[in-house]
Amino acid sequence: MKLSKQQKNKAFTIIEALVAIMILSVSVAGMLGVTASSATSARYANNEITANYLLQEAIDSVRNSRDTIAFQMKNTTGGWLVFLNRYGYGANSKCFIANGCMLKMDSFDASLLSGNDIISCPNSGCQSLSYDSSASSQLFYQYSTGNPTSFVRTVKMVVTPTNTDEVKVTATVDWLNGSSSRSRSLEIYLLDWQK
Amino acid sequence: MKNNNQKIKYDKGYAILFTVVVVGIISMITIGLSNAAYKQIILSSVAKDSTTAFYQSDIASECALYADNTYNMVPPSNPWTCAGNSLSFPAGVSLGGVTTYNIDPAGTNGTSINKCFRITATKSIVLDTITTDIQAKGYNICNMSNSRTVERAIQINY
Repeated sequence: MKLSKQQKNKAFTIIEALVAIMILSVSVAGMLGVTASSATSARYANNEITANYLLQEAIDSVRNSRDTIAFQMKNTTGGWLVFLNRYGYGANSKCFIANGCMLKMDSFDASLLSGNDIISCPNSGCQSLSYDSSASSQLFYQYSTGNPTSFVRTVKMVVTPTNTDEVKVTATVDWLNGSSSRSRSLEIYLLDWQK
Repeated sequence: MKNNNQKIKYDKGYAILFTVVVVGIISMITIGLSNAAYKQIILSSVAKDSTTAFYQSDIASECALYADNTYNMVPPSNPWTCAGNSLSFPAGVSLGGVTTYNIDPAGTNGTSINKCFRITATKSIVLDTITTDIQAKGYNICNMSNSRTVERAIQINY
């Protein structure tokens, strides 16, 4: 039986629509996957940069203390041991214990010989940093005000047994990227080269 | 009858064409988003590598300053341990009143190329005035032959 042209075209529209829906579904599903993965990557990159600056802030703060107390105040009330003791060397506390310490940047003063701006971390770990984006805030990441974040910064210090003029400072930032935990560390050695 | 035939003829492929156009637009948006995320990852990776390299050069400069101020570039032992590295101090090479010291860590894995930093120090004496120049170079990965190695340097003059 010979089919007319109209009969041949009868099922074309439905087949075409089905093919179109299939292509659209597959491509949209794929694109959604890629977009979700991009969003995760962007959040990871953002957190990585934040962690990087938090590490630098901690390391440079300790270094600022060394330069101020051990070097600039050397002939007055300062000195290398006074600098180390500020961070808990003599009392074997604060940054010189296994749990490490927190630097409270909202009250941090590099020239303080002792103070509450450096706190020992408990066995449960250091407190997580809060983020305060308000205009009145001097610092974005701190412990006093703002919304809690997953960033936890720990600072640890160890004096080299063979050379007490040398101290190793390690800052670690742990955070959550979605449900997976991430960690970054930065270390520096400070020496008493102005003794 | 003729009109219906003509309509089907005109509608042929319209759904596919429409789909291809929509998929194309979505693809463009997705590629744009992915590209932005990829660049952010590159940026964060570069920031991380650069920071690591910079603090390695900082460690190197601390060691060089300590070696010069405490031992006048002749430490009590050779190699001398500083910042967890075993530093070899070859005798300074003097040329026209300028003495150059190339201070290198022994390197990890026992090879000569795997160093996290390098120090070049020069001391020149002109009319009893000693001028010291320290160049400390740090690397993000302790393998100087790796193409991903980032170098940052600190120069100190006094």
